[in-house]
This record gives sequence, structure tokens and C-alpha cells, in this order.
Amino acid sequence: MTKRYLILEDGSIYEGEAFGAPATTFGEIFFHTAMTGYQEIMTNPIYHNQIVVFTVPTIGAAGINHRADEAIVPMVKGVVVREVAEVSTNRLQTMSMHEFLLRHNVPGISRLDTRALTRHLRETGAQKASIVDYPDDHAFDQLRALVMTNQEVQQTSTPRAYVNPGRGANIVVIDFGLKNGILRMLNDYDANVTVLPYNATLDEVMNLDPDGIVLSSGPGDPSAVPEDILDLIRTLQKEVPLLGVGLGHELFAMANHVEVEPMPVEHHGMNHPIREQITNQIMYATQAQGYQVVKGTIKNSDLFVTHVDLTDGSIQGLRHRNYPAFSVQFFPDTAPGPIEATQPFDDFMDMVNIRRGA
Amino acid sequence: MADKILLIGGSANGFGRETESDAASYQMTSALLKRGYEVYLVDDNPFSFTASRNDVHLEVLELTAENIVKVIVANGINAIVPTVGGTTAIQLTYEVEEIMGEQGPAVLGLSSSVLQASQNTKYLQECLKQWHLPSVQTRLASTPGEVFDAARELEFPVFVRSIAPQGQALRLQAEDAEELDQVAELALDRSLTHQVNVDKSIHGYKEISMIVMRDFRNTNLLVGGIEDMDPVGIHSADSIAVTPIQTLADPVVQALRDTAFQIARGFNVYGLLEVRFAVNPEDDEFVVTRIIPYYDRKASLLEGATGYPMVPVMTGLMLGDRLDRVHIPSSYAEHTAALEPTMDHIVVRFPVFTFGELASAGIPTNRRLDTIQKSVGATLGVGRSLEEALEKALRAAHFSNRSFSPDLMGKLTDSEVIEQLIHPQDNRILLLLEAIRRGYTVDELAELTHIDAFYFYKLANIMQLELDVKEHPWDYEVLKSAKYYGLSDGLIAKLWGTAYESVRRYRWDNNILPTYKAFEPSAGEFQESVSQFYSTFEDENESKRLGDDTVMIVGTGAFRLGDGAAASYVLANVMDEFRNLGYQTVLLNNNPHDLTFIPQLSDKQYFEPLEISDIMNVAEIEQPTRIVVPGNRIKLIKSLKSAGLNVDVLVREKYLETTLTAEKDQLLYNYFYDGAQLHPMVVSRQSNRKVSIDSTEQIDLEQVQLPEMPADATIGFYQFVCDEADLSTDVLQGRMRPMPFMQLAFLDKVSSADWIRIMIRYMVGQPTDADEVVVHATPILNWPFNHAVMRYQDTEFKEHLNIVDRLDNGQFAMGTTYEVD
Repeated sequence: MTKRYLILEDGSIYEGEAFGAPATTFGEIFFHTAMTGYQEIMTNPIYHNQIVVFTVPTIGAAGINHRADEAIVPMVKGVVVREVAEVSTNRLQTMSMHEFLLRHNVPGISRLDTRALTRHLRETGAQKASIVDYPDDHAFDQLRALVMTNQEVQQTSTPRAYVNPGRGANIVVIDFGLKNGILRMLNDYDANVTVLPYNATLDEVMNLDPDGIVLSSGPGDPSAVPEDILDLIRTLQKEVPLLGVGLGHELFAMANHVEVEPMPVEHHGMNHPIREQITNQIMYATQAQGYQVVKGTIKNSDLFVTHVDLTDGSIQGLRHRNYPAFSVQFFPDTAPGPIEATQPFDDFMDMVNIRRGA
Repeated sequence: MADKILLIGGSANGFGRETESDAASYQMTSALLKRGYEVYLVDDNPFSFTASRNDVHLEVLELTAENIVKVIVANGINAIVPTVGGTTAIQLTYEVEEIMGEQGPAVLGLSSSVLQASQNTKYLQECLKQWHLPSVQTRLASTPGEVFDAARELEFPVFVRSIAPQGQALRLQAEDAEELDQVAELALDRSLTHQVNVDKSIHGYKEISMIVMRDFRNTNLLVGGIEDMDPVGIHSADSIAVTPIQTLADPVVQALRDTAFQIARGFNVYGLLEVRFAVNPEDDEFVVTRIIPYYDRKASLLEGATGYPMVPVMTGLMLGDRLDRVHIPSSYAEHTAALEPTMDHIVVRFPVFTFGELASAGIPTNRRLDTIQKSVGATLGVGRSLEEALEKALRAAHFSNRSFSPDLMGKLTDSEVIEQLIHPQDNRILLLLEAIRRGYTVDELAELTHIDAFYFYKLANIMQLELDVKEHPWDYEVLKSAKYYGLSDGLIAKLWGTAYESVRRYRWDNNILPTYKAFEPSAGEFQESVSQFYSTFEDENESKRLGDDTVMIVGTGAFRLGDGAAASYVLANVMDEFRNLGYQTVLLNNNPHDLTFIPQLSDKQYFEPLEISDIMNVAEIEQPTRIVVPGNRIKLIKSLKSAGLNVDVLVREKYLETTLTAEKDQLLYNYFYDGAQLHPMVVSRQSNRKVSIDSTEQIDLEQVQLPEMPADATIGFYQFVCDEADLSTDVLQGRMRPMPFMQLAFLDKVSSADWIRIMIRYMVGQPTDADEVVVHATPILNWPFNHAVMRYQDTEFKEHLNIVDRLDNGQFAMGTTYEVD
């Protein structure tokens, strides 16, 4: 077993053991409290350039299989967990976690006190981290010199349009770092989906004659996304039913002059009670969120709040007063996560079908 | 709104029920009283801690529907609670509903359809079918030809079950047409209606339990999931159970969760529902096998494992609270009830069997495990890896004879090993280790046992760890790794051929020390106020000394022989009394179903094995003023005393000399010993079937010439056993023995004095004036009844272990009932 170290920007050092690729890695570190869905989490483009700490002590026992991929390769830069399971590959599993990360050159570190680390990160908030062979001054210098990119969307969005064909409604997905779960959900409605890059123009969208628009989830700071997109959203929401997810939700808010700010404590998990305001129903959904809508700025906008996280009151859903356009901060695609969270897709497709006259 | 609520008790403890439902009803009672309800309880279990409360109306009656109806009518009961008395309460509630109909009281939390579905598999299957949820596929057949048609349709293997069977219900498995030929006619003949059900076999599937909470507005929450290591085919209580779920991928877990929600909604449950699933490991398809709408062992396991306030929440929900506004004790964070628990530790529940004790009493048993429960208790192991949790659970179960030397399982031939892999026995974990040692591959073993390969990799890690330890004596890195994965000082000492104290000292010198982590439902995301801890060997310790004046209570661990529930009752009283006296209490125990884990009884709880090193480690942090230890832990008591701790011993004998297999009565002279002097309590009589107290049978115990008390006797309860009443002036021959816990609990219950609490007040040197009066009074003063009898319930041994020999009930009986007049 090879010793490795996780070092944090604030000077903390955690000793552990290597798994996955033997490379040195850098990224922003965060902790995720879900107990299942590790592969979906590692491959979610929202975690591009990040190092994930799993609070669940063992991952990997369900192996790796392509049905759980949210992108074609892992998106995280590193994986931190107490234990990684070895698995037999004779059933539904095609390879082990170690092999998966090795193939994609992602390093992991295990056998460290992830609970202490989590409690630490809860206090400090997100910060830069690195997995290294030795925690010397050089390693810290490199870590501190690291400038995180603000081009996350540009780096994860598809460079070219593509089609995911179906026989139903014609849906355009604008890719800010799309995860497969959203496409799987639209497949369930047999939608004909065209995925466009984040910088698609109004004409490019409207020439497809869409029945509905999905603004996908994606990584990074919404204020780093080019301003043109907000104009695009402002026009589209008047024309066609629109659903925003994650980053798409934040952009939808900003397009409607609602402010977005970094969260004091990020949410990464699937266990917070989320209340739907209109029905008072509580549901659970996967959350992966570093930014939130600023409550006070909604009042003077054309939006109203549809969903609230009951642990901290943060806003989880918005709807436009005049147009068939709404958005959710959480992930409604169950990949991973609770099935009851898929309601927004039903609502969206209802809007789409009304418009189509179907 | 109901103002008089009746809790239906569970009657005698048994194989299906330890003290978890009593622990739940105790907490529920507190919550109901706080909300202004009057609480009634019907129970005839002398070990019921809820029944010892003086703020409930207790009716000691045999648990029959007629008796419950009488209580309801006589007291004007408005509502009944069926969820804290095991299956007994569920059955009775259903019967009471049938009898009283519309006139009956409200049933809190459960609809009559869920009561029915939990009792009747066929009805459950019909409901599931109606809701398009997967259930076990079954076909009705009334001729051998139809049986074969059904088997062909469902595909082999199948189970054949007689409908309305004569005698004991049979489930016969058929792997192929030849076997089916043998069982079809037999099963048809067994049926009074000449009909059978042919079920598709789910043998070898993974067994998963999901526990959900639902409120009246249909908000659902998953408290957690439990995965049995052992496949369907071994009773769930006998399986090694693990939480959180380890080997299922997210979509499967979500599908099970959602199915459990749909069932809770379908049956309109307000509160807790456990749904049991069988998952086919080949394709992740699943079926619902059972629903359990009451607080049972899995519920208490999850409550312990997650720190989720399950009983307060289910109490609120059954009264019509909303999940996001339910009243929970203020020690929990505000949003805790609505937060789905997430865990950053692993919990293993390990079953404990009593085959060894039965064998040493000369009673032959078959150790093979099957669909009928054989285990009598369980321990919990908690850790940050499966290896650690498993090692700690094993250790808590006193598997002390385990070592990797080949002599334990080494004598088995290869074919015996294979036979036992396919047909597992109680000690299968040792067998699995032996099989790994003999070089079977993980995939071979997974194939033979239907246990997921994941567990074999973990067992192989443990094997390798032990080998490393053995081959590298006094190696720092190896020791660190061994402690990290939960190996005990004792086992390491054994492998190094040294004393455990030396290993312990070496650890200290090298700073390999336990760290305690909190159980809380957010996995570190939120700052929760926490009182539950477990040990591991990592960097950060979260447990600080509780206070300057604490009492540490060492629990009794898994239930083993008959007195588990009674010991739990005694300790619960002890803890409660120490709190009354103003001490803060710290509990060490590992049986999640034990009364001692009732949150109101202690300020801090450690889920730990109870070996000397585990207890010393906690004692070092807590530095308690006093430490209470059950008297059979002689070595432990010695170690604690030599460490300078103030030990209070609860006198208890592990093996009672008297065996009660013969048809005869014995008299018992019962005394309280205050440390200097014996005070007569009462004369009781025991036989193989019962213990009784009769006011007409009392003699003046002051006049009895007793043998001397041993010089080292400590405060507590003692008795002398003799065949006939004897007031002769000669000193009786024999010795005073500690009163068995079962009898102590019974005497405590039927006496008007709280004997166990009096004992504690004497122990701390603070007897009240009233206590002095009680202990010096003539015995009869304290017995408000003419006649009290406690009956041993041993029929369960016949049903579960197929034992036909006469058992020594004083030693083995799992549960008892009592009556007074």
C-alpha cells in the first residue's frame, strides 16, 4: 500500500493510502453526504475540477457500470473516502472503483479520518486541496499558486450540437455541463432532444422550432457565464416552456433580475427536506449546490418561490408569474437520488404538451 | 381528540421480541403524558419497564381480546396503540376491531387493512398486485397436475405450501420435477381443503429492510435500509445485518425506498412502516415479502444506528402531527425529524445463539439455520469500516475462542466445509473464514453461499490482517492497522502470545489510542447535540468527559439465556434511580434492543463491546465517580478495582446450581442484604413451570438459621433454596445464592416496594427513612397481593429449536408472564 497525503490550502494535512491513479491532483474540495450513487456523483459534470469527500465510509461495493455514468469520464479531480471496496465482476459490475479511476487517471485517497475532515470543511467552507505523494512546502506552494478556472461551463459544455432522437415533443437542451440523467428523463417521455452548446444563439435555438427548453445543470459560478445567455433566456422564456435545473436555475433567476450568491455552507447530499410551497408537500432530492438565490431580491422580480429547503430556508425552486417557465435548484433526474424529485419533469412536459396541443 | 390512550403490551418476551417494544412504549408513554393524555397499559410481562412507571394505569391481565375489550369499556378508552407490543399487540388490535367495530376506540397510526396485511401474506399480495407493486409470484393448485403447471409457469425452484394445513404449516422446496413429484401429493394431503400455493422461490435473494415514516399528509421519509449479509432462506433475525446498505446501487435503493413509500400510502399508515424485500442479485429485480407496521428489532437497530428520534416521531405522527412540525425532545436539532438520516459509520448486527449453553446442559439441538428464528439475542458492532464493525460485533457476541489457528474449524473435511457452506450453521462466520483459508475463491464462495462477494473480500482482509499480526510481533505499523480494523487487544495478545495488558501498554506507549465518534443523523453536515458515541482508531476524538459526578453503567450485552429481559429491567431501574439521585449516567452496552438505551435513562451512551479493554478505555475518558457492573464479570471487577475505580457490583450468578427439570417444588427464602445484615423479604416457591408467592405460606424468616454470608458479599438480593419449610434451630446446609434476575424483577414488580431502587440508595449510602421502614418491616407488609405467580413460557423453544426434552426453565425460559390476585 502506498502512502499519500491530502493537503488543504489552509495548511491541513491528512495522511492516507493511495488508490486509483498515482497522479498528483488539484481541485476544490467538498463533502457529499449521500450514501449511494458514488459513480453518478463522480461523473457529474457539476463536479468538474473538484475533489469529492464521501462521508459514507465505504463506497465501491456496487462496482462500476455504464448505466450509472453521468458523463463519459469521471469529472472529479480526486476522490477521498474512508474505505474503497473490492468487488467481484461476475454480476452487474463491469469493473472496480480502483480500476475505473486508474483508467481515467483520477487519483483517490482512502484510510483517513473523513469525519474529522468533513467537520473541518463544515467550518472552513470550500477550499483548494491537493492529493500528493509528500506534503512538503513545494506541494503547498503549488497548491496556493493554483488559480481555479472560471471557464467551467466552457470546458464542460458540448462544443457542437447533437441529437438524442425520439418520437415525442421537440426539446432543446442548452448544455452548461449537462448530466446524462436529464437526457434519460427526457427519453422516458420519448422526447426528441437536441443538445446545444452553452453559447447557442437565439436563431440556432428557434430554428429548431422547440416545444420546450431545458437549461441544464452545470459547474461553477453562474456570474462567470457570459452575459449573452441571460438575454437569450429572457427571450426564450416568453416564447416556449422552459425548465432550469441547478446552474440553469441560477441563470434563470439572474435573467429575471434576481441575485445569486455563494452559499455559506454548500449542500451536497440527498437528505434535506424540501417543501413545495403550493402543496406543502415535503420531498427529498439530490442537491449539489454552492450558490443560492438571494431571497430579498425576488420580491421585485417576476418570479416567485416554489420550493424551499427546510434545513436552512434556502430557495430551491422559482417560477415565472407570466410565462410557462420555472426552475429548480435541486436535481430532479434521480441520478442519483429520490424518485419523488422527478415531479418538475412531469410539470414541464405538461406545459410542453399543452403548447403542442397534444 | 382522544384523552385516554391504551397501549397494548407484548406479553412474555420471546424469540421474536426482546425488550425493544418495551423501550419504545416507555418513551411513547413519556411523550403522551407530556401532551396531556392519560395512559393505560395492559401487559402481563413482569419485566415490562413501562409497567413499573407509577404514572400509567396498569392492568395486569392475560393478553386476550376479551380482556382488552373489558379494559376499554371499563375505562372509557378513546384510542389504542398497537405499535409497541410486537405481533401480539397487532393481532389483538385486529381482533378488538372485529369485536367492537364502529363502537371501538380509534386505532392510532394503523388502518385495519395494514393490520390485516401484516398478518396475512395472501392479503398483502392482493394489495400489492392492486397497486402494481411486485410481490412473490404464487399460484393456487388443487391437483398434482396443477401443481406441475404452476411450477412450469413460475420456473424452478418453487415452494409448495398447504392451504389450511393440518398440524404445523409446511413449506416444501422443490428444485426440479423429481422433487416436486415427492412433495406435491404430501402438501395437498396436508391441506384440509386439498389446496396448495405454489410460490416462485426467492431462495438466495438478498434480504433488505426499509423503514419509512409517513404523516397524514403523505410526507414520507426513509429512516434507513438494512441489508442482511445472509440471503433469503435464513431467518432475518439470524442473519448478520448491515446498515447502511452496502451492495446495492443507487437506482435499486431508490426503487425500494419509493416502493416502501407507496405501500405506506396505500395502507394509510401514520408513523412507522418496515417493508421487507427480496432482491435478485442477478438482475436487481425485487419483490416485497413482508410488511411490519410496528416497532421491532429492525426499528430499534436503525434508531440506534442512525440517532434518528424514531419513537418521538412515530408518536407525533400517529397523533396527527406533520413530519416537518412533529414534537421531538429539545435535545435534537430543530430539523432533525424531517432530515433523512445519513450515516458516516457502519453498523453490524450480529445474532447470538444459545446452542452452546443447551449442549452443555445435555440438550441436543440442530444448529442448522433456516427460515425459523434460532437466535436469542444480538449485539451491535459499530465502526468506520465493515471489518471494524464486524470485528466489534463478533467480540461483543463473545466469540472469544476465535483465532486463525487451524484447529477450530480445521478438523472439518472438505466435503463437510462445502456442506456447511450450502447449509449454514450458527457459527458460519468462522466457517467462511476457514473456507477462505482453504483457498476457495471469492466467486466460488459467493456462488455456494449466495452471500455477496463484497463480504468475502472483507473477510479475506480480516484473515490477512490476523496473519500479518501473527507474523509481525510488536510491529508498530501492523498493530496500528490491526486496531484500525477493529482487532481487539485480546486477540492481538493471543496472536502474539502475550497478555492483553502488555498490548495495551504498548499501544499507549506508541500513542495508538481510541477516538470516539458521535452518532448523529447528518454525517457531520450539521452541528447536532449528540449523546451517543462509538470508538474507532482515527485522528479526532469527539467525546469529552461528561462531568464530575457520573455513574458509568456496564450493560449486559446480548440476551443469551433466559434472563436477558429481566437483566435489562434491573439495569433500567438502576440507571433511572441513579438519575433520580442526581448523578449523570453513562451507559456502555451493545444490544440495541435493550431497555438501557431508552434516552431518558442516561446522559451519554457508548455502543461498544464489553471486554475489559473497551470498558477501561471509556472509564479513562469519563473518570466516573462510580461504575456499576453485573456481578458475573469477575475479571472485569478485579481490573476496575485495581485501577482504583469505585465499583458497584450487581450480584448475579452466571450459572445457577439448581436445575429445575424434575417435577418438584422448592422453597426460596428471599433476603435483601444491606452490606451488613440480611433483611427478610418473602418466601416464594419455584417449580419447573413457575415461581409463586402465597401469603398463606409465609414463615417468619427472622427465625431461619441461615448459612453465613460470604465475607465478600455485596449489597443486593440473596436467596436460600430448600426443599421443605424449615424453622429448625440447626443452621441450614448449603449457601446463600444471589437472587436470579428473573425473580428479582418479579419480586420488584409485585411488591409494593421498589426493591431495586432501594438497593441503589443503600449502595450510595442514602437510604430514606421509608426505605429503612421497608427493609425492617415484616415481610408480609410489602406484599399487597394474596397470591402472585410468574409462569415460564417455554413453548417457544419447541417451536424454534425443536427441543422436546424438558428444559430447566429457571435457566432457559426466554420470557415469563405473571398474574396477581
